[in-house]
Amino acid sequence: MNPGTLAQVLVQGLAYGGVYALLAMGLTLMYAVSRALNIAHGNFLALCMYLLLTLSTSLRLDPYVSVFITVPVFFGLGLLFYRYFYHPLQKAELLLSFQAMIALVFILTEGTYMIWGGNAVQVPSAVQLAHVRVGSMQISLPLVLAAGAAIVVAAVLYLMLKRTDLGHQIRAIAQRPELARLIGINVVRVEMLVFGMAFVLVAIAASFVVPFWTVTPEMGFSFALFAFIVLVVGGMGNFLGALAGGFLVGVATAFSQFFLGGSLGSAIPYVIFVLVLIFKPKGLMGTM
Amino acid sequence: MLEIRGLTGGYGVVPAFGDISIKVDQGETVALLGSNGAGKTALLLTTVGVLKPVSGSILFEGADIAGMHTRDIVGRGVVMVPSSDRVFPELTVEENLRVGCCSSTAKAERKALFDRVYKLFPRLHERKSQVGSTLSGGERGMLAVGRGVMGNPKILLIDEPSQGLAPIMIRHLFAAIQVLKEHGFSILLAEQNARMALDVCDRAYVLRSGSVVLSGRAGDLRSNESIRKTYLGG
Repeated sequence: MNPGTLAQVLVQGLAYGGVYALLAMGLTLMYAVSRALNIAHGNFLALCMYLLLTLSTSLRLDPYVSVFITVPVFFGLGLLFYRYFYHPLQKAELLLSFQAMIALVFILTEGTYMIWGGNAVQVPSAVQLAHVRVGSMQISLPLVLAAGAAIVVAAVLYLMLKRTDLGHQIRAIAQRPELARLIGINVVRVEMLVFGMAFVLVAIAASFVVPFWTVTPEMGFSFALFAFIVLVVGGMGNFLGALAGGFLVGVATAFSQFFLGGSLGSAIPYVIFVLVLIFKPKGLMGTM
Repeated sequence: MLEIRGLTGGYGVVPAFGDISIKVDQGETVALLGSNGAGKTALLLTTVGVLKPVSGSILFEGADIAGMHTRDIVGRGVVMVPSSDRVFPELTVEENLRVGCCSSTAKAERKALFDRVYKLFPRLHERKSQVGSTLSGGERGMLAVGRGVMGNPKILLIDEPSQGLAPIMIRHLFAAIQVLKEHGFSILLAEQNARMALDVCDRAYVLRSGSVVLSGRAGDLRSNESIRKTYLGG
């Protein structure tokens, strides 16, 4: 095999990994601040991808352009989701909130079926066939953009967490929630903003992944599954771990699918998951 | 400034304290004395809004703050310094302090507040880039008080400052409390170490099993026979 093929597989792994990372970073922030495990996160990704399809068919918008619309919409959606779905459930029993989450997964999956039908569709983009030349190799541009988006977003989040008041409050709540409450931090407001941010990450992920990934309604849940694996692998609450974990899982999956074929290759993330749980249960990078 | 009237409350079904009435005037340092389980911490937590009272009122500058959200109570200038789990372990000293400055009024004066805290606790300035988990017990106590000051408080509720500290650190911390007092802060101090508390406060209330059993000026209490026997070792 030639280096060109390997490079393509690597970049493909980084691209898918980047998408997992974007989802996992959002999940990490939500978990760190609210101890929330949003099982429906992947369904929101699928929902956004279908929205991109609609924007494309009705307004002829390229997904990379639509992102400017979906990001603020999803920010608002995240705020509403916290305020009207998650926050009221926080006081309820664990089993109840878990059931409500599962119900939401079904509602979102079936809802997308009802509105858009079950066919796998692709959202066209001006750049979907474009390539980047690296030396003698041709790498698909959308893949590079997806991997790049994850890195850029991670850098922005890192700066936010380190330098801004909101970032300090998020970290404080993640470390000692009761102390944070005691000193007067508006924990509810911070939680709501974090949910908004996590949904923004979903919107970004959607726009950067549709050029190379076809969309079906049940994909939502499998995305979430992968994102949760990344969450555990990276260390719950460590969002740089989510980035690294995302790339690790993405690349490992890409290479194992290439060398071992479809079904065995798809099992690799789960193997990594179990290995990490056995040898490094706190995740590769521990906590934030 | 702070007037607690007939307050009853606690952590759950059985109240930790009942029908307590206490006041702190502007510029006063008032101590709550009593052993473990007397209800001092519960009383402070209720004042700052972490616990909700069963009955009674908490008047702060004329308004009843009983049952309000902690974030609103802190916004009005009532700031608590806890007795344990005092710092954020993975935030630096400077970040710990900054996070204490969360109300909009406090933010406007942030630079001045930082100067004030570093002047009060030069050691915190030395360690300002160190994370909370690397600090000693005494330094954490200082950091917790400093963070309280960053909230630009009108009254500081300090819970058991001596807890878990070596004698020399206790003296340091109380010396700092004395400086805060001289700067005009109003302080409500819950403390098991009656000797140190009575040296720094103007007045004190003695709590036992959730009720006030004795109160008076610091000087009077120091010479009180039963106080000497129970809390000051005769």
